[in-house]
Amino acid sequence: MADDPREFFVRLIEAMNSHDLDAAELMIHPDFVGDSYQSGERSRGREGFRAQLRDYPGAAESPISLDDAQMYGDDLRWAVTPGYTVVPLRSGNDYTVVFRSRYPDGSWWRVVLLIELRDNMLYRMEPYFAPELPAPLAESIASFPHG
Amino acid sequence: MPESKQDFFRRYMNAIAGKDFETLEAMIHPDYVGEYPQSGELFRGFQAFRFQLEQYPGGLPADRFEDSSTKVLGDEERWAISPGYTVLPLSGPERFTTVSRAPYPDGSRWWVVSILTMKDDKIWHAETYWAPEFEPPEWRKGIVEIIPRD
Repeated sequence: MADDPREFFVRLIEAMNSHDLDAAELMIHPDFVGDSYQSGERSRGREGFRAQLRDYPGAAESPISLDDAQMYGDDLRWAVTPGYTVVPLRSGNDYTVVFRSRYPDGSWWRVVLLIELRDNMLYRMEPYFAPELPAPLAESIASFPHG
Repeated sequence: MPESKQDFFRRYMNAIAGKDFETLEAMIHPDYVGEYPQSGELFRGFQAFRFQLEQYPGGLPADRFEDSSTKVLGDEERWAISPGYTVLPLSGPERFTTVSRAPYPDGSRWWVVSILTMKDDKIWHAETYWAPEFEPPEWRKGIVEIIPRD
C-alpha cells in the first residue's frame, strides 16, 4: 500500500526542518531530478538533494511552515459512474504543494512545488519561490529589486 | 470531444493577450474568485477580473507570455478508466496547475504559477503566484547543473 501523499509530504518537511539528512535522503528516489527554472538549476539524485539541504545557509533558522500548507492532486482520484458507483482511479502521482516559508533574512515566501512521486519516493520536483509583497501585487512586482 | 485543459488554457491566455473580454467573460464563472496569496488580495467576479487586466501598470505581462514555456499539469486526470474498461468523466470541480513565463517591461522575467479550479466548464477559482528569475547562488555552484535558457 502506497503512503498517503500528504503524510509523505509532512514526513519529508519534518525531516528537512529537523535537518535529519538521513531520513530525508531515504525519501528521495535514486533517479530524482529537481528543476529550478527561476535560477536555471538542476539537481540530480539523492546526493544532489542532500547536498542542497546540507549546505543551505541558515537552514535551522528558516523552517517550513505547515500551518497553511496545501496539497492538490490526490482529490481527483475518485470517479462516479453513470450508475452512481464510486470507482477508485489509477493512483495519481503528480501533486501541487503550496506552503509558506521564512527565509533567514526574515522575509516570507510562498513556495509552490510541482512534484511527482514514484515508488513512495520523491521522483521529480519543480519548485517556484514567490516573495510575499505588499498589495497591490502588480505594482510591487514592477518595483521588485532584482539581483 | 471535450476541449483539453491545454487548449482551454491557451485560449484563455490568447484572450487575455488580445483583451478579448467577450471570450473571457464566457470562460469566467459568475462566482469567480481570484487570489494572490503573496499580497493577500482577493478579487470576486468578472468585473474585478476585467478591471485587473485593464489597469495593470506598464501593460499586461500576458501580452508577452512565452508559449513554449507554458505547461498545464492535471489535464490527464479529467477522464478515468474503470475496472470494467469504461471511460468515465470525473465528478466535481476539476483542478489543474498552469506554469508560464512572462517578461516584464523592465526586462525581468517571472514564472507565473496558477492553480485553477473549474466549475461548469469555467474558471471558478484561481490562485496565482509570481516567482522572479534570479541568478544561481554561489553556495550551490558545484552541486547543481545549469539548465540552458534565454
